[in-house]
Amino acid sequence: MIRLIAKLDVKPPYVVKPIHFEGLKKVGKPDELSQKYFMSGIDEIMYIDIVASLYDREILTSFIKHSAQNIFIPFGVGGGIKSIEDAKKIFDNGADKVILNTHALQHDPSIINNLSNTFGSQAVVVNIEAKRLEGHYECYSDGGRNRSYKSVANWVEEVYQRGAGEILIQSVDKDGKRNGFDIDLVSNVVNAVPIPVVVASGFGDIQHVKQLLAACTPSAIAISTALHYDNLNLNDIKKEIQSHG
Amino acid sequence: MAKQTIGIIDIGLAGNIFNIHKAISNVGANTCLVANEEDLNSSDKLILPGVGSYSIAMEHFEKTFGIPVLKKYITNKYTLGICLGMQVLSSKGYEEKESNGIDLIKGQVLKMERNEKIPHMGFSQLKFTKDNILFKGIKDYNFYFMHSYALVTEEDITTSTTNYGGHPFISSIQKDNVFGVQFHPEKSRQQGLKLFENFIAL
Repeated sequence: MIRLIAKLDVKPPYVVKPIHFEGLKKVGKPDELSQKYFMSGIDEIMYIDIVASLYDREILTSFIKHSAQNIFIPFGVGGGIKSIEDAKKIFDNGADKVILNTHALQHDPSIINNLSNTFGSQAVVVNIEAKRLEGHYECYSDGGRNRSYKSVANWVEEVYQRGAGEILIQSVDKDGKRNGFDIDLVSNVVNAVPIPVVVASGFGDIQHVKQLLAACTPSAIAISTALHYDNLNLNDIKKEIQSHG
Repeated sequence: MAKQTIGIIDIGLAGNIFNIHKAISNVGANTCLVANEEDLNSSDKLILPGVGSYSIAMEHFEKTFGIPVLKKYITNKYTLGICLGMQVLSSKGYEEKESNGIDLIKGQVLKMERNEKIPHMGFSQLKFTKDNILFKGIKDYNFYFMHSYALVTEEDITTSTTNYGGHPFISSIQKDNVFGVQFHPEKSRQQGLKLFENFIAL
């Protein structure tokens, strides 16, 4: 069954809505929104501190702990993770998975191997922020600010080989627009690796799920903007998913 | 009746202790982190939590308690193994490298071979093969799984299986007073909390 994930982009103390990964708008507090989405039937929550790496500070664990406190579904956390100690701290505050991007992509990809060997691959998610350039996709970090000069296709293969247990694929071009997924991008990633792929960026309505599922079978769909702003009925989306078998 | 103390056995680096503590507190028992033999002895019941890898967990148990001591307490109290915590009850695991388990269950833990994405992640349904008191009063049999390895055993202890990629694997077991679940009840909504409630009621 394809999971529905609430993705919280957090700039402590607020969950923000990045439009196009730039220009932020506050939409609520992470603990309150985690609780709300848990109650509404979401399968999982991904909490990403979107400025920890940019500001080169540690992820703030008190917000994580409060967000984890009253939810009984999986909780993935990312932002500024550079070491096993960082990850351990996040697990101790209620995370089930760590979500990596900047450090692994821009500085030291072996952190993926280290975390996977220590905590098991099921606890290691690699977040890919893809941007369409002429004829191909490139990986970015820090909310689409910094380029890596690594192609998405190569990076996807590399992170899988290094032991990532899951990939979160986001589109810098589509994020926050609610006008559909980048089908070309995400279906290639879903079909490239034998690990679960979470598709994000672009959910606006149920038609977009139809289009996505006609092209590929992701393991999960992450929703953020539409969840914050629209009165989404998750059961309708789940029914649509079920009808695809 | 005084509140019970459920001992959560320290499994080293990544134990998911916080989440299990949270779930147990929610259904009305105390918890303590079990880090030596005295803690094993003073806990009313035990939970072997599980996130991490088989070999690292076993090395940790060897150093912290010694395997015979740990096994003695597990055998004599109600114990619930969760995910890796169930897997290490077996004789052998093959995660990272071959390593010996607690050997309470004659069986092995093997990488799942499926024509499907691995790790298996998400809510999946249990199919019961036997009565299991842990599931009493639960109506929704969908639980959250997050694993690449599964237990294989010839012993007649399987209480449910779950299908993934067209083939079943063992999703829960019971051997006398020892219970094991491959899924994460602490991540499985109301039905998961109910399972902890049933465990406490034993």
